[in-house]
Amino acid sequence: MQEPVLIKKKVCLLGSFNVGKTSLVRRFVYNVFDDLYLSTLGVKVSQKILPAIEKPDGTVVQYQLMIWDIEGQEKFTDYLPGYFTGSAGAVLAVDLTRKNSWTIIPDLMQRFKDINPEAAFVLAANKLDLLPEDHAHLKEIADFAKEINVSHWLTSAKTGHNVEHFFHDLASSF
Amino acid sequence: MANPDASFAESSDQSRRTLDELKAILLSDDRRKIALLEEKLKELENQLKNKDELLSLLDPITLNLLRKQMQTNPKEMGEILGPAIGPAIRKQIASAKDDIVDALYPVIGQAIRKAVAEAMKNLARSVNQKLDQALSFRLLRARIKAKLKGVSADEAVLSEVLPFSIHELFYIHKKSGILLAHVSAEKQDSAVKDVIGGMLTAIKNFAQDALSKEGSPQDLNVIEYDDFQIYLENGRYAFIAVVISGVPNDLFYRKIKELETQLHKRYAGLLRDFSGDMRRLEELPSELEKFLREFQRTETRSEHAPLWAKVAVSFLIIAALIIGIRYLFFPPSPPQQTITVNKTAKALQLESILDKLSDHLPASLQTDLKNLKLIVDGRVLYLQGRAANENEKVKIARVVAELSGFPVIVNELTLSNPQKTVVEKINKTRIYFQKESSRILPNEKKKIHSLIPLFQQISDQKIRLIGHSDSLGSDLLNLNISQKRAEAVRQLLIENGIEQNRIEVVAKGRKEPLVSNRSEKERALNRCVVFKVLENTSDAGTRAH
Ligand SMILES: Nc1nc2c(ncn2[C@@H]2O[C@H](COP(=O)(O)OP(=O)(O)OP(=O)(O)O)[C@@H](O)[C@H]2O)c(=O)[nH]1
Ligand SMILES: [Mg+2]
Repeated sequence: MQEPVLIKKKVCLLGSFNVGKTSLVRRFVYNVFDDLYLSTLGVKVSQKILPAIEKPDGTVVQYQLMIWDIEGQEKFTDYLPGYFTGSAGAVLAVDLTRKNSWTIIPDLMQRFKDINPEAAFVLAANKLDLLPEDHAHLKEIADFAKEINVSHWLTSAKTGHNVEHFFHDLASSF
Repeated sequence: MANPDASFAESSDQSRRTLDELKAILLSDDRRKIALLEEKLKELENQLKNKDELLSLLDPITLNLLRKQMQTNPKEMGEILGPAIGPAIRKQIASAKDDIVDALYPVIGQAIRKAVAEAMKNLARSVNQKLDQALSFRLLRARIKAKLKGVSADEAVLSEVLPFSIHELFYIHKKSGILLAHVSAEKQDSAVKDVIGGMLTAIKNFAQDALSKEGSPQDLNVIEYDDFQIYLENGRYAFIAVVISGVPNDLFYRKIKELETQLHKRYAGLLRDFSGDMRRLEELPSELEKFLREFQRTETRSEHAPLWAKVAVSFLIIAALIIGIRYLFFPPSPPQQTITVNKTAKALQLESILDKLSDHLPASLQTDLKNLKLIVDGRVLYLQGRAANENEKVKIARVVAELSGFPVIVNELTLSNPQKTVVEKINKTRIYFQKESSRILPNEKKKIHSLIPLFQQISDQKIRLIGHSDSLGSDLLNLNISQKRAEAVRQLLIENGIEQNRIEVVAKGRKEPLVSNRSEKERALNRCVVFKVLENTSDAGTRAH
């Protein structure tokens, strides 16, 4: 295989407070999890280099993700637009168990798109480990994802379920 | 002309008038002179009374005198003038603190300036410390240089005491915060440089959003931490962040602007719609490197070994600062009317912060948290009490910052073990020597003199003197010279009343150089004697440093 091309991309983690954004990043970057809740203040930037992948046109690229974990806000208007600029994509994170964390998503997504028209999105429906397998929310989140036209992943920062996958999924659509 | 004899024959009245006339004629020259002298005398008298005028009169004379003296007998001059000038400057700096804040940070807006004030306090403190060690001769030179150049003396002294150097250079894409290139004066590269690029951008974004809410949109130009400043040169698509210490001169500001323009010309097309593709940026680091090398000075480098540790800590603090700014602009508490309710709530909140502290700090903590006190004054939170050591002092403040969300936290914790700072100060001192010499230079002698009172404060502890040398010449030769150097310092200590049996001498020769021996400047740094204060237990000096 040829020497991969290094490409750096900024992605944002967006979503209501306490849904597990920071936990997802920590699982993805450091492979750790903590039950303690320390609400993020401002922004925390982390980075991770993904394995090299071959693009449809044959070039081999390696993405270095700069992950901006932004503190959860109650209203989408509370976000500082300065944090969104220059992003290649966003992870929209919700708490599967808490439906009111879903409602902010469509507006938030729109606001992000206004600033980054080309942005790629994935929906991370987190805290899967807390729901029984047949819970009604699992069906509802699938419908919700369809509505906003974003691919969704059922995730758990606690068990690590699907965490790698949705980041790779996001990167593959840059 | 009248005939004098004839005049005398007239009446007495007439004769007096004539006499006066005669005097006037004969003495006219002297009289004018006397009048002139009288005038001069009065003028002088006035000048003596008026201090300012006197000074302006004496200045050129003394300056010339000093200049001459400095050439013929610099050592003595330093000794005479040093002690007087030190305190004067110290006083000036203390009173000019606010002016310095205003002068250095005209661009960053009121809000951030407040937070920076704390950092300035530390700066003034470190100036004081450095003045203590600095040699009076050197200060004097700075003063005179200032006079000659017409710079204000404080400014010149500041830059003399805090030599300017550049530690890191980042070139960062403005929109995304992606790091385009990075060079460092330190040997090791940092693994977190990309993250730092991102965080810097976040801080800029934040400041920009917050400050434009204040009315005038402003770009953040300086972030201040500890002895370091992060200077930001803003371009259209990217900005340069320079980690510097000391006081930069005009040349720096001009050059950094030039660098920005040059990079902009070359990369604007690429950065306008930057895809993150790093391929076309491969030459960037060497361009930054060039800039870095231009400004490199060796003076301070060896002193700043754990730079990355410091910068890493700084980001946590900056994070706290961000939170701080946030709260300045979006204060969390409701407006004035409910002030009493607020107050009790605040008091409760403070108590709960103290309660929660221990959960957020390591169990091995040595500081007694019960002695800590939090005092609120407006938007400033004062943290008071005693911390076991410098490290814990910082840690505790950081946690308090996190828990309280106050915009400005003034860390007034004192160290419960003042001996420790004394020890640290002694251990940091190095006595330098000339090539192949073990003679203690006058300046170095002063350093030793200033340590004597410190040694007396820790009179129950032993001191080890470790002699070093550069790498030139044979092992044996170097071992010898390093031994002689340490012995010379020992002799001087004894002469100054330090008990012989408190002093141990070790010679390392060229075996354990303090810095690499690649350049002459580095070799000069290795020709030295290092102090090490030993613990007074039997297993002396095992604690990691
Ligand atoms: N059981 C379970 N708990 C989780 C999971 N992910 C996060 N948590 C917990 O949820 C809480 C909040 O997680 P964070 O990652 O801090 O949430 P956040 O979205 O970053 O919150 P803000 O920073 O305030 O916006 C923490 O107590 C986590 O331990 C998960 O997948 N399963
Ligand atoms: Mg978080």
